[in-house]
Amino acid sequence: MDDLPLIEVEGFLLVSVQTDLHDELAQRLNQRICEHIARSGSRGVIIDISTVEILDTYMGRMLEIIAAASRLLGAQTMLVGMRPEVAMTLVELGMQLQGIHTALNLDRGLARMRELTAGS
Amino acid sequence: MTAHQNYILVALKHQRDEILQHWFDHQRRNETIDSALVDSADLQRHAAELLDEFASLIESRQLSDITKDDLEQLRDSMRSTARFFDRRGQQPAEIALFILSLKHALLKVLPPHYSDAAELASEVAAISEILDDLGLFCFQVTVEQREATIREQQAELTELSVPVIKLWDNVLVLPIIGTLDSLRAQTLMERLLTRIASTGDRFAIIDISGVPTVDTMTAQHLTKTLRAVQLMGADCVITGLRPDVAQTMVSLGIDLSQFTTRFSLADGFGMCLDRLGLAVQDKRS
Repeated sequence: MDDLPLIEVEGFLLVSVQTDLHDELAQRLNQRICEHIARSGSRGVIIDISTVEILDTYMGRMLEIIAAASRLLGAQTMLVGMRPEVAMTLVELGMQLQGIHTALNLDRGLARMRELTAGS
Repeated sequence: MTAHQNYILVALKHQRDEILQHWFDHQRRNETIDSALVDSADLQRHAAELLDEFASLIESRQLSDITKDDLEQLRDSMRSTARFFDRRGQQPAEIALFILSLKHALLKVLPPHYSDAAELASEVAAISEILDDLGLFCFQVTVEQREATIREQQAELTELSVPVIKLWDNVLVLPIIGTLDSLRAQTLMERLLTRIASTGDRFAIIDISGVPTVDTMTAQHLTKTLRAVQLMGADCVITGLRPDVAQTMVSLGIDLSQFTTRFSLADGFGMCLDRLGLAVQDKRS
C-alpha cells in the first residue's frame, strides 16, 4: 500500500489516482496534498482519474474534502480524465463534486488551470 | 409392434409422391399457403423436405417411443420452412395449418394398410401428436422471429432518435425532437459522453425546440446529462426553450441556473464560437 506519488508540473500539484482510494489512503492523500500546498505555495491541484473505472460516493466525498481543504490554502482543484461511465454513475448517484473543476484530459486541465490562476 | 411401424414407413417410402399430391390438393382447396406469396416449386421443395425428415424420424424410432428430444431434427427443418414462409408474408396461423394439413394426406393413404381399426387409431393419434407439436412450434418460431424484428427496430429507432451532430470544431449539437423519456435520455447521455471522450469536443448544444412539453422528469434527465457533460470537462448549452416552456419550468420550480441557456440554437452557437475565440465575419465589409 504505497502512497500515491505527488508530482509538480508547472507549479501545480499533479496526483494520478490509479488504485482504489480506501479510507486510510484517501486521508493521507488529503494530508499530504495540504502539506505540499503549504510548503510549495502551489496554486492548483490536478487529480488525474483517467484509469479509475469505479468512483463511489465515498471517493467522491473524499475528492470534495480535498478540494475544500485545498481551497482554504488558496489552491484550485481540477479533476481530469473522467470516463463517460464514471460521469454517468456520479450523476445517477447525485454527487455534485462541489468546488471541483473538471477537464477532459491532463492537457486541457493544465491549460484551464493556467487560466484560472492567471493574474493572481 | 415393429410390423405396424412398417406400414407407415412403407407408405411414406412407396407412396411418397401420392402423399405429397394429397397434401398439395388439400393446400390448394383451402388456400392455406397463398400461391401469390410462395410459389409452388418452393412449397413442394419444403413439403418434400419435411416429409423426408418425418420419414427418417419414424425409421429411427418406434412411433410410441418418440420423445420431444427426437423431434429436434424435424423441428430444425420446420424452423427453416416456417422462416421461409414468414419472410414471404405468410401468417403464423397459416404456416401452422400447412403442417397440420399433412394429417389429411396421411389419413387418405394409411387406412388401406391396416386391418385392425384400433391399431390404425392409435398410430394416427401418435402421428397427430407429433404434427400438433410441429404446428405449435411453427407458431412459436414465427412469433419469436417477429418479436426479434420489433426489438431490432426499436433499437434502431432509439439510435436514430438521438443524433449527435458536429456543427463546428469542438461544437456538437443534439437536436431533440419529441418527448425525452428515460430510455432516450440514457441513450443520449451515453452517446454524448462517449463522443466527448473520444473526440474531445468542448461544447455540446442541446436543442429542445422540438420537445413539446418539459415536465419535471424531462428536466431531471436534462440536468443529469448537463452535469455529466460538465464532469467530463466540456460545457453544455441548452437552446430552443420556448417562452411557454420557460414559464412552465419556472412555475414547476425547475432550476437550470447553473447551466447556460439561450433562446435559439443560433444564439447558443454564437456563444460557443465566442468562447472558442472565433468570430463570423461578413466578407462584403
